[in-house]
Amino acid sequence: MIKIENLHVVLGGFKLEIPRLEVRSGEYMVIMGPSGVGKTVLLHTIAGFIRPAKGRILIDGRDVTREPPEKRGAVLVPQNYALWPHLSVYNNIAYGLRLRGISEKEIKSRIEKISEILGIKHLLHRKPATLSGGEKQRVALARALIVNPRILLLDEPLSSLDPGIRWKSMEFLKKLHETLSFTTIHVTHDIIETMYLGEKIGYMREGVLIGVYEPGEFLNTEYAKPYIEIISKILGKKAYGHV
Amino acid sequence: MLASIEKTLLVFAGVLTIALFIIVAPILSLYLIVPPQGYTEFFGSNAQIFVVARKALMTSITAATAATLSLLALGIPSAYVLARTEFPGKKVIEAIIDIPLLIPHIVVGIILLLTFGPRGPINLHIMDTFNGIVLAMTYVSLPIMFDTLKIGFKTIDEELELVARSLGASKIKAFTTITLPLIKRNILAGSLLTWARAMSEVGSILIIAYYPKTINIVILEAFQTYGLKYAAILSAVLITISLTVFIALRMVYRE
Repeated sequence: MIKIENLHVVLGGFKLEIPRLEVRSGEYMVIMGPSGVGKTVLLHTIAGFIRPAKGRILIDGRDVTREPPEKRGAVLVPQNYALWPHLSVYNNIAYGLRLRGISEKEIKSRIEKISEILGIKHLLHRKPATLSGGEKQRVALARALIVNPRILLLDEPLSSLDPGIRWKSMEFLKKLHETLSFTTIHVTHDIIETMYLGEKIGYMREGVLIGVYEPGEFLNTEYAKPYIEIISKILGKKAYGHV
Repeated sequence: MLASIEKTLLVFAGVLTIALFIIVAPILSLYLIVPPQGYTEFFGSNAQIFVVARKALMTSITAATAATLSLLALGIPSAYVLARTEFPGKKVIEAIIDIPLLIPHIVVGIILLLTFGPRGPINLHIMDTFNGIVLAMTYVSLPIMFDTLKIGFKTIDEELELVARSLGASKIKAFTTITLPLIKRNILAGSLLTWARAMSEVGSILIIAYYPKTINIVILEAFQTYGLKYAAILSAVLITISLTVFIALRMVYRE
């Protein structure tokens, strides 16, 4: 569980303000907002790469606001997945476990287990450069999930994928979450992703988290309105053959 | 239009050929002039000049290697800071780092002697010592190493390191396991260029540490005393060693 209270971040001329945000254990939170609104800054602040000007971040009840990233258990999956090109897929995934001093035997069995779930068993000895976008994403998820993060931070996890596999990938993420029920903050500018994956939905505008909503509730807000209008236009066209 | 573009390219390629000729012709003519027994003499003869030259060659190689290692130790942290952080005055610092490229090497010898010599404010015992040679080599090669490493760090996406940190790696652990291995080519290139630059240094060494003699000093002496005959043999050996190191390392790191 993660709790953010009255968080203020100042980066040059940019200001981020999160009055209050709570993600319960096992919950899939999607934070939506246009590009440049500060979503990545929020994730980097939770991960500990940016120090807030004020406010508190609590992870599983512990105040981590002043703790270094490696002590937080908040694992980041960046937009481009950031797989380490000099390591094989296996060694990418093993990295976090090796840091924890886990035996190679145990690492091997855990990697087998998670690569089974993620369908990447056949990729373990490949180098990241040889993987497709979707494969990279799965490897990045495996690398993050294998350490049982207290919170998983997904930065636009679908936006670098080709449209064709994006939808599949979205479905896959949902299933994966149903299987492993990790606590997640997923940030995106995409309404479809938001509505499909979010158990709770946060909306950000101009550096401020405006509010957190249930999916049904979010659809009725003014923020969802422009998207809903477009979608109903598309659906209307299809259903009635005219606009 | 297309034909004229191709004509231009042809002219440019001609210019490139001239440049290559300027580089390669002197090396080839050196190899043509020096007879094969020149090399056996260098490594086997007991003639005074070759005994001195072999010792000087070892001095040059060890000093250049020491300078390269000290520049790696200085360069890796410094270049990382310059590549990854923004701070006021950074441009000035970057300009300062390139200063050694601008100072004539004889002058480098003079200012090092003034500062770190026996009468300087900080006496580092550089006058006619091995350390003096290493210091001179380090000074003149510093920009090459620093700039090559900095370019390397800049090409590495910072998120690669951030992910490692979020997975539980300390800053130094993420640096040594992720960032450093990823710039190994720049480390190699920087070391190679630094080493070659250090091996060829003579101006500042003439001022600071004529002794222990480095190979360049011996070549200079041989040239002044006997003309081209011995100088050419020594030069051929030196070029062969440098080229061998250069080619060997390039092959090792080719994937």
